[in-house]
Amino acid sequence: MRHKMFGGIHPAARKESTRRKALARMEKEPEWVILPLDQGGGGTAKALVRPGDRVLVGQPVAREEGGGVPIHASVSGRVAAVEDQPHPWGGQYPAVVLQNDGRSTLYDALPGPLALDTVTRAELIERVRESGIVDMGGSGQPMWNRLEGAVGRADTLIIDAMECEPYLSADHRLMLDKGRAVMQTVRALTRTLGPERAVMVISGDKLNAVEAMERRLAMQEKGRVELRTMAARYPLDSEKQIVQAVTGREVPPGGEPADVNCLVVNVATVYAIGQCLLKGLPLVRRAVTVSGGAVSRPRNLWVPIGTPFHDLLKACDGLKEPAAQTLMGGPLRGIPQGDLNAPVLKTTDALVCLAEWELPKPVPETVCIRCGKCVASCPMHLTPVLLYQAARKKDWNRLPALHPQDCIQCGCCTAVCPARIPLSLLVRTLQKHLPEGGESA
Amino acid sequence: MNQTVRVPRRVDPMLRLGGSTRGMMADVLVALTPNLLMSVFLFGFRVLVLTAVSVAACVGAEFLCRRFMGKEQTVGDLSACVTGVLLAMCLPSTAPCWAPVIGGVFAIVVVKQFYGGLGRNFMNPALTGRMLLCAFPMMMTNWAPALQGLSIQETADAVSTATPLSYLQLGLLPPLDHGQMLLGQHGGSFGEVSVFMILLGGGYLMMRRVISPRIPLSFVGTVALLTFLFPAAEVSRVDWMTAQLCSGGLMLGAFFMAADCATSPVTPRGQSMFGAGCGILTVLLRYFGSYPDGVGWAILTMNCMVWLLDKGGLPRRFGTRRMDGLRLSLERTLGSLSEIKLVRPSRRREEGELPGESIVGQLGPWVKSALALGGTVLVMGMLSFAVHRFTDLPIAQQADREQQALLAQVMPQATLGAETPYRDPRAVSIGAGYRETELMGYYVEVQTSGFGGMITMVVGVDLNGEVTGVAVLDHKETASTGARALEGAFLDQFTGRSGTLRITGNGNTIQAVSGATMTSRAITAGVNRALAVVADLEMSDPEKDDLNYTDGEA
Amino acid sequence: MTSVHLAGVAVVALLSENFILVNCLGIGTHTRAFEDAAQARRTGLALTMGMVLTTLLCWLADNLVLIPLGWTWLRTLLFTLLSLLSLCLIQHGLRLFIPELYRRLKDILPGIAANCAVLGAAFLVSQRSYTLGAALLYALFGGVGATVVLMSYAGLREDVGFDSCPRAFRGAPISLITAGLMALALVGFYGLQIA
Repeated sequence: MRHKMFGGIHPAARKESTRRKALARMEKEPEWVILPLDQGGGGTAKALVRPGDRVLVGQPVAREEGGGVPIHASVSGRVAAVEDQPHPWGGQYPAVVLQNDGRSTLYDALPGPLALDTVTRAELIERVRESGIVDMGGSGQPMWNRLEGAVGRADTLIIDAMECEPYLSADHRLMLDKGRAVMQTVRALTRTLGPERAVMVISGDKLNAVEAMERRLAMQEKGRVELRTMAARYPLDSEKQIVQAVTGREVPPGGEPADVNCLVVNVATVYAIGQCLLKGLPLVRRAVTVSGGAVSRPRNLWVPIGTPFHDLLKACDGLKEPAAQTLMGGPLRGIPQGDLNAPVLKTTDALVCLAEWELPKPVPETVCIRCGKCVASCPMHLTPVLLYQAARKKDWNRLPALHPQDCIQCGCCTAVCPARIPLSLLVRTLQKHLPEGGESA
Repeated sequence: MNQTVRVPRRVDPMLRLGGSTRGMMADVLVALTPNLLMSVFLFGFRVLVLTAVSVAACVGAEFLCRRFMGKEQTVGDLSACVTGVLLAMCLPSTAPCWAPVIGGVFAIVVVKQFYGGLGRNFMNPALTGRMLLCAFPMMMTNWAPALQGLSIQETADAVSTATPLSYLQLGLLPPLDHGQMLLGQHGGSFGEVSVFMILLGGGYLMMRRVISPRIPLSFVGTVALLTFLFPAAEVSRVDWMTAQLCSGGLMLGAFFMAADCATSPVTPRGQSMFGAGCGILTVLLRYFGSYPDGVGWAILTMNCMVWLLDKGGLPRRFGTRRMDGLRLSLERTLGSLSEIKLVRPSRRREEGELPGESIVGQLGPWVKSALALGGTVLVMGMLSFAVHRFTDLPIAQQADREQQALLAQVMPQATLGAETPYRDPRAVSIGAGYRETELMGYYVEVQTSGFGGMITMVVGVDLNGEVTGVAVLDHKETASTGARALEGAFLDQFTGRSGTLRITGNGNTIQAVSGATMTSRAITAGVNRALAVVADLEMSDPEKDDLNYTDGEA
Repeated sequence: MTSVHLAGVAVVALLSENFILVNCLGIGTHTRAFEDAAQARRTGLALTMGMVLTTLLCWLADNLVLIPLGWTWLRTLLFTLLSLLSLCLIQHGLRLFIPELYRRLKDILPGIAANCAVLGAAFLVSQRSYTLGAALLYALFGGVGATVVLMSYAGLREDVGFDSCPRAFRGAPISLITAGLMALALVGFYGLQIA
């Protein structure tokens, strides 16, 4: 049975510049690594090290606290400081700063590898927890939490390999270059969590990845994992939408996939889980696409977490023209970067430097003509145009009926608006006008 | 844990799809081009002149209006051009050049700019402009036949041909084959006739995603369904449906006016309801209304309801079941209604109060006001009684005089009118006219439905079955044109005629008043009915056959 | 009196003789009814109740008393009294039996008492010598039509806002223009007749 996602858009993929370039390590590892204690999942970790301490790759430098995840040193070297450092989200937040000694010595107290065929559910979850793995697809929430929540509830395991945002190709390359480990891990997850179905969803513009995964499946075990190809319709990579597209179920408002018996795991997360099981290595590196029209040599990099963005750009031979906008993430959901000293987070999938000519023309905002395109494009069934009208009238009484809190901030409404109204920003600001109080600022 | 949730600093997406407002309007213009070319082919180059005048009027009005209101110029968004072209397309090709100017200026200034310009107007400007021009019905119904090579000059007395709608209104199929209907080889507003070209343009707009297909499809679908279910008598369902779909402004209205985004709902369900509502009203107006085409009125009426439809058509919240939203709102409504309870009135008595004491306390003022009211009513009643008394006789005399005048009009040869005991379900009353004691004929009061409502008229018929005169007692026709069909010149045509009279066709025809076809038709129908009533009277002589004779009832 | 005829009466009351836009009756309601959708709904409800009850009373009085006795010249006086009486009945009845509804409609009911739509419905019904069923239907759908118009007008006012017109037109003029445009849309229903 095919299920359809409501709304969404078809942006131009713009992945040509990186999709054929294999994941590569940086030629010169970063000299400094910044590990923010807040990795974006909600909580802040507590630093375990002091300036001057020596750390090795994989050694914990912060332990979980209040919903955060443990953070591990991604390079070996010396702790230079625990201080406020630029954060990709803007502003300065406390971080552990490591000085790289370039030797990449592994931490000797790393836990041993677990056999994928025999690992138990409890072992798996405990290992994921120790390894500080977060949901690398976007939310950045601790992964062990998700896994545990899915135990006994999830009947469908969805491996999300859609990656629909323009420019991004890191997940694509992971499947091509590390396909074996990915597929083995999917198998292990399927076995331990025991869902009825395991579906791997790959967007139709990555046919070589589909083929690679199919080959792996044929080699390993047939039948257990379904492979589905879907049209690359943005935002199908968002978990609520992918659950809907695969199972036809809709995640209730304010809920998560576990509420409809689904577990969504991003490919990057799968690979990280694989690493921690096979090698005992915690989450210290991830794949990052560096792309955009302003970058001289766009490529996919396998970088230590905490690498400052300017080092990423250096590995790509810098900029060939001034970047009009630098984003962490793709152009639709990306977070703008003012300070290139900010580091790669566990959830950073790309650094995109857009040249002037790639940006939408700075056409002035005109009046809303009520064309309804934003309503037709909103995958969450919202009505941005009515929210816009309510905002213009400052009529907050209308908000509860329009549910602005459901917004997943995919940006489709802004992208399609012929009047150039920044709708998705507006919806976000409206959330705080909800009578119940909404998000605290 | 006392920490605030950090939120990343975000900007709006660095990616834009789709066009601008200007691009959408340009697409609409492109979609209208084949239709315009077709109408040039059908009705000659005058069509281009009208369109040019209309566009110039709209753009000029928009430019000046924005200028004088001190707002930034919006002529560049091409919306005024679209309004101009659409307005012109709703006109007959014989329309004078001032017509689109009046309509366009009204559309742009009042309907659009007074409410803040594009996107803020609640009614479709082009359509409102066109409907304003209905104030000149003669001009708006002067249909030129297609393919007659109309010259550029205004031809004031071009023959007014019948449009397919005028056949449909009589319950007949227009004498045209499907090809002619599709391509528009018949009379009508020049942009409305060519269904094929409109569909082409509509398809282009849907492909370019300028309009959502919901509104036009639900609109046309509803009309198709209703006309299929309720065809005219003795007409094949399918033919009737096709004829209804291809005639009038239905297609142009559905694809270019109902689907106009500024004046239609934004929510998907609202759009479907909007289209269905337009369809229902259109069929209602076409079947029972006075104007031949109901499309424009239906769209305008639904335009006023957009706000309600948007509210009612909010999409289902993601992650809730289909009926959850409805159930929630129902529950809320019921909850609010359940507070409304029937209570048994209880009279609480204060401590140490005798039963009824509180009432006694209130009784005083009550009696006072009741007395005042009663007094006033009494005085007023007496007054009206007195007035009634004094005016009763003059009123009766006046009525008698009117009766005489009426008799003189409908039956000049008679001097005395008398009520007759005849009854007929088709007539209000039947009277007999006498000269001295000789029966001259009958005068029949009949009601017939005209353009604006019932027309009550009296028709005199002599014993030979010929009309001796027609008089209109009461009507609701429009003062400017409809009433011209109620004046002597038209009514005198009937004198001396007999048999069944017709407005169109050959033999025994009555020349209709141009611009008041509906009224002319109604009067003719009334005369025919009166003739039939009298003819039946003579067949059944009351002296011999008591069936129609109801004694002593009048 | 067939059901088709009754349907015709209902449609006529709803559209072609819409009390507010076409007959121009009932415009004397509280101004807030034209501004606030919730108020508009309540006013419409009160108006409908008033119209139906008054029409009922007046029809009974007309057909049982005035016409048999030939006192039709008393109609104006009697109908006026009856309309006031019915509003009185509604107000006190609600207060005694349905206090919650009374609380919600308290501000509106006195305004309805002086509303011409109530009296107008009764007069139109007696002029056309409708049967009792048709009369009640006419009053009911007339009220519903008025409610819909009030609500869409209030909605338009909330939604579109009438603040972007030239200063000379702000306030009453633009309100009247809007009502005029809405009435223009109903011109097409003029003379609508369902056989």
